Amino acid sequence: MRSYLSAPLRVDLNLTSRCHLRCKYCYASAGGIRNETELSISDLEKFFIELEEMGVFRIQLAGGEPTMRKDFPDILSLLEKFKFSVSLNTTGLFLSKDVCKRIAKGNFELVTVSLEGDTAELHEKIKGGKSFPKAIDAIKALKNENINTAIGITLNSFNIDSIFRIIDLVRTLGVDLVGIQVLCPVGRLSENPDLVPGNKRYTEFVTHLIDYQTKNPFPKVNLNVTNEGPVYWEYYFPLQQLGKIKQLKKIWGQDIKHDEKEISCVAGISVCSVGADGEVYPCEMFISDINMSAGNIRTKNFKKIWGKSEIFKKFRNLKKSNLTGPCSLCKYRWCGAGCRAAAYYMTGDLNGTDKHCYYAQSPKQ
Amino acid sequence: MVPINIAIMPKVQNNNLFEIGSGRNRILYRREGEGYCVYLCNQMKFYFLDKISGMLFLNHMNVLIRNEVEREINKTLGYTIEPSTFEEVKKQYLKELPEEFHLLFSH
Repeated sequence: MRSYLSAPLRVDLNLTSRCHLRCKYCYASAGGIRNETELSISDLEKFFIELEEMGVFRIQLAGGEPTMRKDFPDILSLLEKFKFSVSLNTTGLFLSKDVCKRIAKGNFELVTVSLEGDTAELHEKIKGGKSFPKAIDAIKALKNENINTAIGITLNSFNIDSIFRIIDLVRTLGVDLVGIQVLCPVGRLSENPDLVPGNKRYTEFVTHLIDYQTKNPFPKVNLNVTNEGPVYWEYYFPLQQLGKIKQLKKIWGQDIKHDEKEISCVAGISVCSVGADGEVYPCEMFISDINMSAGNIRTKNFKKIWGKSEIFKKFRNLKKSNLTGPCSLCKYRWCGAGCRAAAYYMTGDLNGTDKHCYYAQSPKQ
Repeated sequence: MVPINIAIMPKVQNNNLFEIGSGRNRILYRREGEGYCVYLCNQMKFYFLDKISGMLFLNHMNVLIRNEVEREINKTLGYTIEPSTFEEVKKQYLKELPEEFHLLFSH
């Protein structure tokens, strides 16, 4: 069994599955009215006490749109009682000046506003609704309160040619960080496969990004991927194609271990996610799949769920020697087998292949 | 009948989350196995420190007293540190910490 921590380092907490928007890539397939009972303030208080006792460092509030909850100000008050660090992912639709003032009082380390385009037309083509002006207003309101603010962009075939214009736009707004999320084929994205940019466009983009970062150190730009391993194929293959693989450490801060023996997926090892109804999942990519629930915090102690659930045991027992398909034949021993959620949803098997990986699509042994 | 006020005590026993400092430069830490897990809030990064490195770091941050660290070094490494060499040993251990910690010390 892979060793796991006594408590997660980070817990992603979906406060609601409701959302006014219908983003085409949403991993949680959020939106509309769900037939679920959201965790109450007293449920959350009990949960937070347990997280603090266990030593969880960071809670990431997500959804759905977390700020849609009418009691969101009460949740902010509750969070002020705890030491752990908090971050928030939001569309910005309901981030009023008052809410921003409350956020500024708490232990928030980062608020990330989702921004998919440099124009209303592009942003709303991907996210739906009249959401662009509100996202921009939310960024301004956050910065006005001196809150550490990021924008989250999902890298997709609609906006891949506009990313640098988006970064130029938010630089003028004083945004501290840009997180570019590489898509994972789960949730609503499985109905919109045309959103995934192909290998060629992705590699060209990464080439430009490396160049851009060298010339523009602010804001900091992170390329985020779902497989939190020692080396990400999303970083490795573009650099390999550019003949710059020796600069992996310098550019992305990753070191190649030539004989990585373990699966690198951190789901159930150092992170987990909790749905709006209290179901606990190995990571946020499984959050729309009740079959992957490890238990519910309303009926079970979280510490027990973390330590004893059968679902988490499955993740902790993942082994490279049990992999199937191209992943089992891969010659790149530094890889921790990519994203297990991608593998699971593309093959139906947790030990399957992350077919999202360019090498797995056409392996040359 | 005399009303009885039942004080509900906050449930803080066995708490494994500790903080140093305040605001964006807070440091959170917890015990993890034999060592420590540390979170630098301003970097948004997690680190694992072995027991001795962790204790020396916490001593440097004025959280652990020197006697406690010396006792633990004695128990774990099997030798006694002379008071005159403690700071030198600590300096060497702190040098080995990730570079983000050094930024912390320079402030």
